Amino acid sequence: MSYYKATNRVEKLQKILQLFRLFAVTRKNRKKVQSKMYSVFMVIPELDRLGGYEKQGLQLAGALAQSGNLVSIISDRTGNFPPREFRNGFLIHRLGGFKLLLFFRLIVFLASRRRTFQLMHVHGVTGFSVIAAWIGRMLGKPVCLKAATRDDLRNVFSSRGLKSRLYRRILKNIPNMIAVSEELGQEMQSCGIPPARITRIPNFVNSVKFTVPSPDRKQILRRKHGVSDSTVVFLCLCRLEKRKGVEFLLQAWKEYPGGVLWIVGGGPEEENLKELAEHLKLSQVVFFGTQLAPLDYYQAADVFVFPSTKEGFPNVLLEAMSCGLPCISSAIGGVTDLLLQDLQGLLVPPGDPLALSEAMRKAHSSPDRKRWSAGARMTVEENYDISRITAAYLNLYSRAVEGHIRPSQAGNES
Amino acid sequence: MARILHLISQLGEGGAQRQLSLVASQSIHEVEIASLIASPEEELFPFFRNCSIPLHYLSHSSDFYAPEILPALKKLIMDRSYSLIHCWMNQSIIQGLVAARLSGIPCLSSPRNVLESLDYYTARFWEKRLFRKSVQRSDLVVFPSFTVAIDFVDSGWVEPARTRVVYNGVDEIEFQPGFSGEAIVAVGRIAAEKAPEDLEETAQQIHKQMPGIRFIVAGGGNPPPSKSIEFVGRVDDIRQILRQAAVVIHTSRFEGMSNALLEAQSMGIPVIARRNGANTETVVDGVTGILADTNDELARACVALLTDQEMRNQMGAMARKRILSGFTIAGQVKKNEALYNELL
Repeated sequence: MSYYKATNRVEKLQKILQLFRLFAVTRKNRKKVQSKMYSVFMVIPELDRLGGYEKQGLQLAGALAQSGNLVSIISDRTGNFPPREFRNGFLIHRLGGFKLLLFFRLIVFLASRRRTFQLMHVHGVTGFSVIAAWIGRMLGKPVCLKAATRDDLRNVFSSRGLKSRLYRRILKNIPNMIAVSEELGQEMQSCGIPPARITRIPNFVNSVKFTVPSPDRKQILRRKHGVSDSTVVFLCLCRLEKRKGVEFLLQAWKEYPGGVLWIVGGGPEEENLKELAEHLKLSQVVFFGTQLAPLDYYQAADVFVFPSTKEGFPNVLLEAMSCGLPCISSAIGGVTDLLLQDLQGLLVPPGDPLALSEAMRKAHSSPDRKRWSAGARMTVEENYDISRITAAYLNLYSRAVEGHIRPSQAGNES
Repeated sequence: MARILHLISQLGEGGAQRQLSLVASQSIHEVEIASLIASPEEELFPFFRNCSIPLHYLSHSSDFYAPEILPALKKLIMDRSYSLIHCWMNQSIIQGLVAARLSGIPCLSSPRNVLESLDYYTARFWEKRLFRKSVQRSDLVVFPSFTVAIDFVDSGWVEPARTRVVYNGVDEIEFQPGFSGEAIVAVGRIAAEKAPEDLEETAQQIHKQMPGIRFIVAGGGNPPPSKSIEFVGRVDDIRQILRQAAVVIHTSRFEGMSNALLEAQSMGIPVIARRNGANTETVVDGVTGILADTNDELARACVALLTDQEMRNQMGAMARKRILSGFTIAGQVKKNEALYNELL
């Protein structure tokens, strides 16, 4: 081999041109390979609001990436967040602009990346997500849509506006609908979506993070709040808004002053509820406001109370059960899927303070609490753990991709 | 059993070379290594100085694109009849792919860094263009982390179907926990892409709050003059430095997958790194280490950890556990073999 050095520009240029000429050979003889991972585009509107279903979406994206898939999240930009961000093995795109500009951007974005994704998973029924689903269909990709809040679909299907009519057309053609609860599945059916298209995949909880505390840890956490070991701590953790029905809980507490009641969370009703508590002259009620680390409260409490009147699929209940808390909840859709009377706790009719106080009295002295606690943890481990739900989603994806017929092909067949 | 050629640009110090040495030494196949250029003996990565794996040097110049390289590579492939070629660095991917196609064998390429840092690794425009084309046309593309993979896929450089991810491994037996030092340690070459000026700034911030603490930096390159940092230069056995560490800090701005962070975590040392690139995959923020955005935050996190022995121990234990569960050599080698089998 000779020692070589390009001494002038012409020689250098010749060398580069030679390389380019040789490079043409790389076009040919490419081996065929099979795809080993799904590349999923997740559309999550208003990601940074970080409500229940946004968090679920982020966790699911992380879990899917961990199990070997390529995940990008597409969201609209609210607030000062970077437009392109890597997180835990997936990529977040935040598209700026609003209304028409945003939709136009979304179209350009998805169309220019049509080769980079196999499947689209849309969360929620808002303008952003429905339009994204429509573009996904136009690009010939399988689309899954997850509806997580009650009445979202029904509102679209019962309203007469031009926008609703457009959305209805799009929604009726989506091949895979995901319902988080039995009740949402029924709602979809009543909107005219065939049952064969509906898959029920509930929400999940990370049962490794939300675990049953050791007795020592529980003691330490309770000491922090000055609660003795024998006192029964009732915990209500949710966003304080009208539909959560916390005022019924306060009324029930008036009938039943035993143990301590912790109310964790903030929201529009916080001041009203505090006033109500004062008005009813309640004792042993503590308001904690919004807390960033809810785990500590779950692990310190004894019984979880959930008086809500309307839910899609309550994540807090799932978290409480994962921490092994017996639950008292109103029997509403979403709750009855995962909580059975006398197996993991007690069910009461929604908006009924008397029944609620009766149930709390029962839970306070009942020896069944241990059994309920074990039952709650077991239910979560068996059905609602993140690993199981991720597997269910992967299963759905494989069905969606295999059963997918491109719109153009469908046209040819008929 | 097949004969596999690993092609790399040079055999100096670096992450790709370290991974190559691990994969080559553990592989069940017959492995040979070719390097585009020959590095001087003293700059060679220690593993390659006296290993039993055959090494081939394709050129003795310092130019990655010397015209004798391609013919030499093609001749080597013909003579030794390899059944697969695995290319490890940007320059070698370009020429490895051409040689592989000319001799009709499959080519596997491993780009190792996020596209943001491309300018540092391939400076010339025609080189970038060729690199892009060769990644697009490789038979399989292996990435060290999902972050890099999604970056390439999203930018349209590689089809999802040809994308594979194999996490880097770290020798969990060599890098054992059980030492507790007092110093702050940073590991990495002193090079433009690793942002040495950030290191200096962070060190000064820390020294303001904790004067007298040692700040050791290990890695080749020309260190800038500094009062607050002890540069120890290239170290053959990095464990000796890591044993003096209470925490490991990593200020690099782009990371495809940092070996330094993996090794520190394997030794049960909590790490502090920037919240970007693959660091969000290697480090679980608040569990095995701390991720921060600015130099200020890095310094603050460092001081917070140094003053809390309890937290350091806890994070160290979690870090070790995480390495054992997902970043072992055995796992890496197994996944690599599966890839080779796919192509053979």
